[in-house]
Amino acid sequence: MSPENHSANQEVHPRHRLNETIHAPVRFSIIATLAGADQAEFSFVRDTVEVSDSVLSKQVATLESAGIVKVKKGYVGKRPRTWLSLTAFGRRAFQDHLAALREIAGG
Amino acid sequence: MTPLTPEEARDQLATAETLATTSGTDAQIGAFITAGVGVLIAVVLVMTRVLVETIPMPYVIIMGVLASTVVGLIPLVGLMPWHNHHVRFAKRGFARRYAASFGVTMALYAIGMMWAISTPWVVFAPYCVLVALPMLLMATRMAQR
Repeated sequence: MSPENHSANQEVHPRHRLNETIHAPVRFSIIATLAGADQAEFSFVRDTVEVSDSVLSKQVATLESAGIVKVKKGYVGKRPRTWLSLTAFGRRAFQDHLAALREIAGG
Repeated sequence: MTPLTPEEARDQLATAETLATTSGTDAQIGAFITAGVGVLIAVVLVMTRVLVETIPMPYVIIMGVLASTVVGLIPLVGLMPWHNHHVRFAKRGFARRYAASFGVTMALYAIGMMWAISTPWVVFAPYCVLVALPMLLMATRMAQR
């Protein structure tokens, strides 16, 4: 195989289409939880993913800066609430990531 | 990035599938609200007919009653967004599905209003069921997701 062909084969391998930001286990779980929601409360995601507030905050900040997750703050009555949702870009990126995973899973 | 084995990729896909279908009881409540609003609108249609039949009133007043029930029901379109604001997990697409089925039910309701005075009960009663049907069917789909 020529070096050009070898390089081309490496580029088409699905692992190159995995999104590094999404790939991290906690972030993957956060995004997978939000994929089924229009929006979810911070505490719901924390309980579902089984992480602490600080870990979730840190990971959400990373996802927010990557444009994958949108954070909205507000109130329900007098109680402050934080809602998380996937952006359109985040939803597309997650779908692409899942497609790459399916290809890898298929061998 | 560490290369993934097919087995690891399958595990991640299974995790994603499980987490994406997580919803708790909030989704069931959303479905219940949708069904409830559908039934409520059908009941209002029946009640309006009964009211118009039992209390003699001028035609203008009857039209006023019919129009005011339509105006009175329209704020219900905001019920699902309000619900989503108060729950911990707002299931994807519920607000959109609710609004779509609400629109169809209200259109059928408005058509039913035009018949409310003159149509025989044997036609009108099944029509009232038809009015609730879009929201009942949507509620069933919501509950199954």
